[in-house]
Amino acid sequence: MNFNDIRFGFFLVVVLGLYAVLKSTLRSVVPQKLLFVTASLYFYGSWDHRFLSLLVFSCALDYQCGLCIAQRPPPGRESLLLLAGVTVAELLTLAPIDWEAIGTVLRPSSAYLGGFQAPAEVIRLFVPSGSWREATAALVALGIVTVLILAGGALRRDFRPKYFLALSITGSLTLLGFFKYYDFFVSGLERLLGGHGWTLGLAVPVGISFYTFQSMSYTIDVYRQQLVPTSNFLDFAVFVSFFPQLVAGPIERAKTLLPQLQVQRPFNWTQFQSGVFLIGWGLFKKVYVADNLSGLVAPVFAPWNLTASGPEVVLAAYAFAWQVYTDFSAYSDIARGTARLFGVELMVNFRIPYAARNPRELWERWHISLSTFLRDYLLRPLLGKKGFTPFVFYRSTFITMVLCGLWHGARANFVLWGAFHGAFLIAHRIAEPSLKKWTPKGTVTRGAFHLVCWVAFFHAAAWSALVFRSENLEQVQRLTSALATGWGIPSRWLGALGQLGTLGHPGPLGLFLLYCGPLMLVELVQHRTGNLLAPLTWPWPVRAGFYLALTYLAVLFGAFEPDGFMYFRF
Amino acid sequence: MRTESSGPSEVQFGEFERVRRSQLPLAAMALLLALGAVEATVARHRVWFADAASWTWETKTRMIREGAIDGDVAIVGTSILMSGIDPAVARQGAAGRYSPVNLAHLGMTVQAYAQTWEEFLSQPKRPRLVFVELREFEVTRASWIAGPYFSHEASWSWFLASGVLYFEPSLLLTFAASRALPSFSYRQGLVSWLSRSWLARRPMTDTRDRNLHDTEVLRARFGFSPDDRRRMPGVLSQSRPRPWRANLAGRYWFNRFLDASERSSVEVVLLEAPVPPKVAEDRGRSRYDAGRDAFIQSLRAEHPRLKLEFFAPTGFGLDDFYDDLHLTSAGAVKLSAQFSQWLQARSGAPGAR
Repeated sequence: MNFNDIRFGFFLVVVLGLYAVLKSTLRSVVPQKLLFVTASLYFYGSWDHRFLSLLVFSCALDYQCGLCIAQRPPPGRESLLLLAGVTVAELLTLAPIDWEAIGTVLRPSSAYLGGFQAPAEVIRLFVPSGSWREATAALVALGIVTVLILAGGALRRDFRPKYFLALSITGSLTLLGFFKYYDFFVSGLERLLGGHGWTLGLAVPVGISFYTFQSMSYTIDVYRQQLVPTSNFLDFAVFVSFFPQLVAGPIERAKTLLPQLQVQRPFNWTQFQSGVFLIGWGLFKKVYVADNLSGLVAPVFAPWNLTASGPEVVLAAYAFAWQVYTDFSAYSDIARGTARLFGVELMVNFRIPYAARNPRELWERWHISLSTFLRDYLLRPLLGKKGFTPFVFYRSTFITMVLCGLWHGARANFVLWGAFHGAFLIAHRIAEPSLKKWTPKGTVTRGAFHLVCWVAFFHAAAWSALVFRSENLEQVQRLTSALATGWGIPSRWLGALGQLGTLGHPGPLGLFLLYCGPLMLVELVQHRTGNLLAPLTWPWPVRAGFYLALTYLAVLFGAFEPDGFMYFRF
Repeated sequence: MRTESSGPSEVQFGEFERVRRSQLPLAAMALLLALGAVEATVARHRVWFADAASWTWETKTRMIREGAIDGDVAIVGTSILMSGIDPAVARQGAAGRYSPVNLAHLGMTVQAYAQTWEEFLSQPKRPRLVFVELREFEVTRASWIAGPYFSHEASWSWFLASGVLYFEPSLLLTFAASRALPSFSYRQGLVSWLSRSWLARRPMTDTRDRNLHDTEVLRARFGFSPDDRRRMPGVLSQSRPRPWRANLAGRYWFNRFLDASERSSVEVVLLEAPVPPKVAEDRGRSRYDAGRDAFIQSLRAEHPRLKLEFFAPTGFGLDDFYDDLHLTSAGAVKLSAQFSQWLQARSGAPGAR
């Protein structure tokens, strides 16, 4: 169930309606939390019910570990709830139910209409089918957590906090590593040792990288005594599974999200309106910008395209840089907007990243929830105590960024992408004093210098986008080599430029500007005002005109075939 | 992250977000009003940019609903018959005994056959004979949502009847958007017209003129729409021969078509549109003909009380075809003549009215 899918619209209306009823009729916040957990499990299960058990596993493991780290008394009721949840998840995962047969039975006329399995389709919305291999792996994981829960009380007394932290991190990373990286590393081993048939062909559970990180950050914060663990499993389950940010972030911290979920949140009309704006703005970015740009990107990156010229590759790299940004930030906007409808604030995940003039600034603006996670939970431990040497900093930065690349997926080009950003951050750190020294003092010259820095850095970022989008290193090499070609035959390129003024048959460059131009203008205003919700401060007639323009750009030019969000696969 | 008040008129959300404190959602209300105004204008002036297919669908459907197109012999089918049989020829040829009308639509599916036909039969003056284009009765999700039927003409009840077969909630949004926002359903034509007008620096009138001309022709020629693009023979595709295909959805809708005919005592003639000689040969090889004959036999068995005939025009050469399916203008003249002869023969036959 994608955010840009009508099913999500129905789902959101139903959940919001129930939330409003519960909020207005009951004082207790528990029914709201139960609603969130149920809705979140349904939301996650709509992709693949088999992986619900992994979510429960991650939840159960870190909840138990959090309590064990803090040496808190065992909450009997929560343990029972937890066991019940695990059992249900297990049953859901492994029950050999023939959903299609049920669909046929449910619909009397289906025998007459033969191949049409409408109810089965309906059921698949809730419970998609698939192979049982992942379910077996999930069963093993569930077995481990069941043992953990049963033995939790005894373990708590005898072990030191750091063992539980190790258990939490090992458990989460094993889960992540097994599903996401097993095939990558084993296929490498296969090639190296000449083996065959060692890979499992596992499907990567949607959003596993996001919720394992979020859940893991909780135990680390408890271990660092920055957070008091919750003894209410329901609270923790809502924190890990909160559906707006479950599958693609932002990766929230327990310190900020848990307290919001534990209390009654007063209704705030301004917050609600800004939530609706964020949802609309996110949908515009997805439908009008990201999905349209994919049409400019895909042909150049197609594996069979061996003849792409320099101008084509440059434009495709620009287009992909904007596509990946708008696609992902659209998801974050919709997630934040959806959470706001329930009175919950999620962190800003993107802050006009292409306004950055250097790599450090980029990472302060791009996927902020991940970059701050990596800074707090990976880079800082790698740096160790205060007073680290430059070498330790460079080494730690490089390792962090390579792992950041690997987090995106088990592919060599992601590793190269991470290494490039690591190297670039190091180079910037080294060159920063000189850059400051060279910055002119005059207003105009300083502006020009910043412009040069911005242009140069955007091109570096666009090249890294090329690496990110490529299928493999061979394609990276081929496209990078192609950058130098084709500039001597400007007819097609000039033709595209010549058509910029037309709507009839704009060339690729014209299309790129048509799709990105409106967004760039709005981002320019957001950047100048330092306000990501700048349009909401405009006078209402201007806002109405702005909404009307966005609506008609989307209606007339938008891509309306629901396309998945890119970051789901990470 | 906290929600803070940063002044009497602004609210701050975290470090990077500030909004104007809102009272009434004036901008949203103004947006809705503006949307309504724009959409009403677009709907009112759609003749300026509507593409030919959707315009002919709309015009013909309107003519049916207004009772402006009526006759005692109906022709139901796709673009092959829409531009292939001129009822005026038959009206002259049959010496006033029959008054055929052409109800065929461009891109018509068997589902649209049934629904259009049921609507046509609800008129006070009912036909006594219907020619229905016999074709592969395969209805799929793709064929259902393609073309003007889904984007413009299907009513909500027609859509919901289809939903029984192809349940997919996302289609609901597309369908609702098509009905509520004319600018969405006509978006290709609208964008094309806007861009051409932009280039010409004046509102282009060619599409409007063509649509108005088409309306006149459809009214004057009883639903027939000559296709000027197909004056000359075209190129045949190298498609591979394939057997007769009919799926259960197609069969369901065709049964509904036949049931409606039976209830209204309308005789049915299954008209097999002519095909180029090579395609006819391929059909023989691929057992298309055998499949079709078995299909007709099963229809007769299921509808024993319905008078069901089969008519296959013959004598068409390669020059009569624009492509694998569609006739050239000369081919259309030939088909119209054969259709007229068939009616003449029937009117002279014993028992003819």
